[in-house]
Amino acid sequence: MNEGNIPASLLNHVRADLQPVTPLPAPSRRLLALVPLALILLFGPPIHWGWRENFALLPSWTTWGLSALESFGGAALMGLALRQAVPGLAVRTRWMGLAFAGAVLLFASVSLTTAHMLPTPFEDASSWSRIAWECVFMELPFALPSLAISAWLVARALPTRPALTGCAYGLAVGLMTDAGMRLFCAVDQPSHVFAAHGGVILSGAIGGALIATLIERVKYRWLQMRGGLDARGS
Amino acid sequence: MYHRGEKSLAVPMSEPNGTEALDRLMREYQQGSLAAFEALYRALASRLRSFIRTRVGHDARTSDLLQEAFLEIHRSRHTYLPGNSVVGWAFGIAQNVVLRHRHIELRRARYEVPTDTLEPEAELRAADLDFHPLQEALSKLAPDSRATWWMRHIEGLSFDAIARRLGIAAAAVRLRCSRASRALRAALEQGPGNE
Repeated sequence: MNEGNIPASLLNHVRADLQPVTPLPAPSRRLLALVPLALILLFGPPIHWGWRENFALLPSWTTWGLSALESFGGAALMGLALRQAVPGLAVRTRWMGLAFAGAVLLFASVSLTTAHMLPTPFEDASSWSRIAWECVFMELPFALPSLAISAWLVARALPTRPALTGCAYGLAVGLMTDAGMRLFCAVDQPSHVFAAHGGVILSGAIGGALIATLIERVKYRWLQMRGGLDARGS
Repeated sequence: MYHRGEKSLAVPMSEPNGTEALDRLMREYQQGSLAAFEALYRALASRLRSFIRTRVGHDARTSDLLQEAFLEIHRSRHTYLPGNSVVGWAFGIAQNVVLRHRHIELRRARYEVPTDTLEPEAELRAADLDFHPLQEALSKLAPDSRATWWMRHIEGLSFDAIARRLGIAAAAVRLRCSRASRALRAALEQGPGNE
């Protein structure tokens, strides 16, 4: 087949829709645009809900230091998700897997270190589930808008593996939200932190994967409805 | 100079395979140059064809997917970041198209049974069935819907093939088939003579 001949239908389609476009900013620049979001997620929960009662008892490296580290880890993962969404810049799946493992390890290390520095067991074991749900619901007002903004940023590009990309930004939002929540929540007992805070992070990852997959499907359907694929085979 | 001469471009006529030349073409394409798109097509089509063929096999679908890849390239041209590899970007999009194709094929294979795998006994039993109610219900459908439903469920054509035959979008074919099936089901449940 002579590859120089462009199918007429394809050419017509391109000719009919050839307005100039503005290239997406580089993933690093788009990540910079997310810095305010990271700051809101870091400072928002403690400012809105109040600082943890035992804040002064902890050394600053375990409060500000570890939160900043967790927030930075989340931002790095977000950068990876934004990069993953651009064709040709996607990293290998195994690197993504390593990044996910690193995120989980970071969360676990931060939580266990804080618990080791200042163990805060429940005074009343019966309140375990109530406090866990409180944490979950207090994180949601910060996590959900951030998830929506991340989903929008990724949807502007074209992720080859939407589930993987969505999982990355969901995990990133979860980490960044937890970085702020741990400055609010005074309970460091691992069962609480892993179930409630970890549960939000896990839900973010699963939710991100589902949202990104759904968005790509809807985008594809929408393009089909617009007749964008009529050029095939003609 | 390009054969259409729509815009004056300082790009050689020969295939621009160099990274910088492709990058320059891509920038011009993003600015709305059709000539740049044509030059990019000539430069990338054979490579993308090989890329797609190795992933879907020696299949007639390679040509369809190549066109779909270029359509996706056109739609997603804003995702090319100037200064990066055009070939890598185009391959990324082709990979996206191939994965989507595989996904659709898998889903189709899950629900569709090829007619040549049906057992003869099943065909014989089908021959004994009374098709009059179905014919009556079919006659009540609009001609367009009936033709679409027939091609899909009796002739066993794919949505894409029907779309090509009728000159409409595949999504419109799906919609017509779905509505026709619903109307038929409703008519058959009502029974003959019940309007």
